Amino acid sequence: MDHDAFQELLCLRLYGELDAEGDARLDAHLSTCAACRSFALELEGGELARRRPAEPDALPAEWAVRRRALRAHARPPRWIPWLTFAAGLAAGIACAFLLRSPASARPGAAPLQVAELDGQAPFVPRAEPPPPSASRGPLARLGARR
Amino acid sequence: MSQHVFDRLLAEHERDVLRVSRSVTRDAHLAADAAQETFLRLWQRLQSGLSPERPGAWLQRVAVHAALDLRRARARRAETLEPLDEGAPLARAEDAAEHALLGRELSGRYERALATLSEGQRVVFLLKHEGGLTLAQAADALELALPTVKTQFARACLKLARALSDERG
Repeated sequence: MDHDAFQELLCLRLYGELDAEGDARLDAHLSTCAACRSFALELEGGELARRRPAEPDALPAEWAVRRRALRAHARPPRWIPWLTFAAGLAAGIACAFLLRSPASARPGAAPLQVAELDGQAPFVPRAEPPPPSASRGPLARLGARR
Repeated sequence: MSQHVFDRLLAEHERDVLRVSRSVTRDAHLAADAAQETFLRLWQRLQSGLSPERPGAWLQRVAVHAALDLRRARARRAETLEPLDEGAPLARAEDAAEHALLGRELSGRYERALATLSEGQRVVFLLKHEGGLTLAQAADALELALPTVKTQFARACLKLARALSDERG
């Protein structure tokens, strides 16, 4: 290995990335090489070592806006829970209506048994036309009072 | 359900994703774009019923690729625009602090040294040095073998150390 290779190992050591084997080889070389020892001192006191960035303590202000936008994007729209509730309510009302309707209205139900009376015609309700609504309305009542 | 998982993963990993994106793009606005893109992809994945096995590693990988895409797109756009006049006076007050000037000078040296690296070396170096990833994490994020990443990092670091030392001397 030449000096460049050992100086690369010095760089890896500076950043805590040198394995045990490389560490031992480097130490053995440094014990005999003044140039690399000098470079090691320069590296440790040099600009790269000083420029190691500290852990940032605060997120940039711009990121707060973007974080809010991301969270809003990931949230379902507000109308979805209401729509779910409304659909459930409508389904419930429809079920209740079906259960309470007469059996004849249901398909497949047994036919309605007409009264079986000996010698009597089955009862058929007579349909009478309803009286004119006006005669029972408030106007009619007003007219009757007059 | 996926909404709760998304909220949790966003809270747990947003800092790391932003830091990694920032280290690759070297621009706060582009980094936020990359992070947003990363979390949108996470949401799409959760919506399709797929949850990443190792969410942290998955998010880092997506963030690195999103950041690289944005950085390359910006570089392509910049090629079509007029280059900035580096000699133009900066809009600053006359009594700008010595500290700011010194900081700018150091930053300038560092940026110039970074510009001497190849694209692969620069990305690996920045993911480690500014993004705070281990080289194993960087290898995972870049989908490269660890020995390759170690070699690229060590070469990048040596080049930078020498370039910074030459400029100082």
